[in-house]
Amino acid sequence: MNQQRKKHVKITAEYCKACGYCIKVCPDNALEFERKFNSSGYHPVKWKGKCRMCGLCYTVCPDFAVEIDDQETS
Amino acid sequence: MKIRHHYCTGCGHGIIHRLLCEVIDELEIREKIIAIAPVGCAVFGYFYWNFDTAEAAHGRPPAVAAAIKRILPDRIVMTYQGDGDLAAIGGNEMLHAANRGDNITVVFVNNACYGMTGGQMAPTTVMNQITTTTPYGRNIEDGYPIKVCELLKELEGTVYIERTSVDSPANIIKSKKALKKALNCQIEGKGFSLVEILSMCPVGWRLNPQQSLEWVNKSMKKQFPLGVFKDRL
Ligand SMILES: Cc1ncc(C[n+]2csc(CCOP(=O)(O)OP(=O)(O)O)c2C)c(N)n1
Repeated sequence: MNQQRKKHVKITAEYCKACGYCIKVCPDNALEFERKFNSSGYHPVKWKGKCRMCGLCYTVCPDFAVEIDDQETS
Repeated sequence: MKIRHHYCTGCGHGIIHRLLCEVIDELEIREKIIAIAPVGCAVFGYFYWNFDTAEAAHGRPPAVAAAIKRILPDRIVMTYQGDGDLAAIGGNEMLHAANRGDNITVVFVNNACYGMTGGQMAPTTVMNQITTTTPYGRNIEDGYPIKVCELLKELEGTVYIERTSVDSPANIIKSKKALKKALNCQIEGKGFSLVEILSMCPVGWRLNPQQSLEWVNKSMKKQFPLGVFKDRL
């Protein structure tokens, strides 16, 4: 199997405070608020699964909730 | 960074904390830096930063930093202060640390109000801004906003002074560069450096996070133009 490392946006829903900065700056419209609440009572942001991996969401997140991660896929 | 912090929704402190930590890692000075936390929203900075910190009385971080730098000259000493802390109660300390040209770095987070105590007027509150102590908007009886960068650039002792903001990705990247330059200025032994960062305070301003970005852009930048005010590096 040829192993490949694929980037993905990892959002820690528990840290998100729903400021919406990442949704505002995203050029691909790849983020949205979830319907469910997190334990602090906010609607956390969810990644829709496809984007250009520009990392702007990571740059603007004030709550350390967004990470750009390498994921191993085969 | 894997930490859950106490700042409100949309507060700029979180972004600035992250930028600082990234810069400190990139410069590899985590073992060498001593940060002084202020009194204000960032008072709990030492819960989040994994480097040495000290806490000072309201407004006194520059004085404490100057003392630490004199005792431990090979350490990197940085203060992290709000506008109430630096420009109001700590105006004296800030001015004289800058005038002595102490080799320290000041990170000045300007959110145009006293965030922690509930959004009262600060010296940096812009004209006509509504706060809990200026319910009809700040007018000339309350004085004029203090422009810290413009004030300090006139002093002989200062070396590097820049004003940036964290309201857009481009400005966030500029802020990071400014912080790096300011810490480098100290590492190279040049002297006093200050970075003023315009930051959002949606709760203090009674706006939602999106509106607060707009407000930094429209109202704050008019009173506090961004740019490098002094660079003698
Ligand atoms: C000697 C003293 N006076 C007053 C206070 C009350 N106080 C606590 S925080 C604060 C304002 C801090 O505002 P700022 O520096 O702008 O920081 P922010 O909370 O906006 O980040 C004040 C006046 C205090 N703790 N100590």
